[in-house]
Amino acid sequence: MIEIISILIHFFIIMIFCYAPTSICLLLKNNNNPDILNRLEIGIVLNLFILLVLSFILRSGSNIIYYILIIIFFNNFLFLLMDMFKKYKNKNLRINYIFVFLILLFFIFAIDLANNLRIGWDAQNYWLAKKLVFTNGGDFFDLKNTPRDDYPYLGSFVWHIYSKFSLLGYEYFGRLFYLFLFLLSIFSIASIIKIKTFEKIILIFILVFLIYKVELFNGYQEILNFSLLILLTKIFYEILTEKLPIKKFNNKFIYLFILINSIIWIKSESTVLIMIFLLSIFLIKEINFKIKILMTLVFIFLILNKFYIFSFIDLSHEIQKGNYEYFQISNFFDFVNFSRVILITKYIFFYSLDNVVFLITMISLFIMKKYDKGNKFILPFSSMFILGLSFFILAFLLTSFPLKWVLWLAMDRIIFETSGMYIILVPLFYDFLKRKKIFNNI
Amino acid sequence: MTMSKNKQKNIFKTIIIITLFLITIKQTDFFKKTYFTLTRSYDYRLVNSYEFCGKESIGFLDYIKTNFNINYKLPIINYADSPNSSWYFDNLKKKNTNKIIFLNYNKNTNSSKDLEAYKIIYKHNDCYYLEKK
Repeated sequence: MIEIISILIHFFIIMIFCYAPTSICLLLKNNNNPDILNRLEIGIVLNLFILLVLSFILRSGSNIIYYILIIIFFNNFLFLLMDMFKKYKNKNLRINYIFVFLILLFFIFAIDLANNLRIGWDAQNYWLAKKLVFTNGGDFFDLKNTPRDDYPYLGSFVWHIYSKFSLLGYEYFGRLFYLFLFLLSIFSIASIIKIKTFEKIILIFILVFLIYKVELFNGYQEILNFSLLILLTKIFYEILTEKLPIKKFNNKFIYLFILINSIIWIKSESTVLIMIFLLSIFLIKEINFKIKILMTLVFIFLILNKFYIFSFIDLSHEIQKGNYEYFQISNFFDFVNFSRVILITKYIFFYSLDNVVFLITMISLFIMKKYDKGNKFILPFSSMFILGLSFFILAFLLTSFPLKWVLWLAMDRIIFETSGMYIILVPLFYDFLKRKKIFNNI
Repeated sequence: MTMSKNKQKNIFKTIIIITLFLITIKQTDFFKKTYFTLTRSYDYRLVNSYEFCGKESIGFLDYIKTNFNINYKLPIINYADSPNSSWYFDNLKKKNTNKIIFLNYNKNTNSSKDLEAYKIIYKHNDCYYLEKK
């Protein structure tokens, strides 16, 4: 019974850590009347950023960052109480059914996770090893002694923090944060279009049904990339639907960069995924050239910052160490040849069929491209899709490992994490169908 | 008339949401797993998520830890192509020891020299708890 109560309490612990006060919502998203999900969506990104910064100042044997986190927790809790009191005073305190729905789904899936404690292969070898560095009182200087020191560590650090800040201290409580982030990203992407609560719940159910499987939370980091890419496309959508053309740098860009910074600290390939995202949004004419240059410069700064910190703590800079070591210009055609391209294409095709969300988003994109020509999101998302495919092909084509083995092992995961960029097309497609009054005839 | 139509609509929506919830509960075996969470300890569920002796062999490690009162980290050599399970002992203190664990050690394929240097304390299939001779 204690464990079940602890799971429920853990939801509220994560929620309070990720609670953003009204002033922050107003500052970062111009939202002066945020609901609980808006607050959590902003708060979770800030929380990841704060945890990343705290991981830099964490030192072996020192507890200072944990005290800082306790202060943040009580500070946020105070804001939560104040906001609730204000609403109560204004007779505006009502049940948010979508939030209740979030708690229920979290609880159901948390129980599922509590009974599937097996940690995945790579997760045991790499991500858990990094988490244990922090659990055993180490700091980020000790990460150089872990396998695959070229991998970033934010996901492992978050895993450690949330298992430490749980009532029972079990390892999987850290992974419950991954579940929380996943659900929150699905809930927030379903709210980009104006629909009734009932429709929203159905849309969330469909998305969750299509994506959820307990293995996503076995310690692999793809679920974090997937969820954060969803939040990234959402903020991009919000920026673009607000006011066009975009000539000025507003505070939403700060939120966007905080988010990008967190993503590049999750996995090595995250940087490439962000590059694909940025290249695609640069195709939008309505974004001023100066803004594009500024975004590029900030992105370069974030990459250099990561590079500097990796050097400072003596971690390897190679992307996917060992994976591309035998590739040279002299043996170019050993790697880039027709049979390898065909093999990769086959795997992309069949693994895409396996990923229902990927399939639905592609069909949505295709239909909207044909029948919704005025939609300004089609071009960047088509570009993301093409660049994403090119990335899959190139990443596997140049690998030094046996191709079939790598494809079998990694293709489904890479397709899954990339699909986070396209999932926004599902609510957009639903909106398109509503605009075309398709449902009126049903 | 409109009131009753609205009421009917609301009932219909509620039924759909409840049905979807029931499907989710069924799909995840929610009640069975809630029962297991209530009646089985975390360690029991963790050990049972892995094979006893095979791949990570967490069951074997747990058996050794419990039955031989191990409160320090034991070196582990895993001969199978699977992750190193030393993380299972991670919350224990470091200590110099002449004991070692071989997991998935196959006499036919692995060098017998490895095993000859040790005295077998406990063995289960291809998993060995050993002490240096």
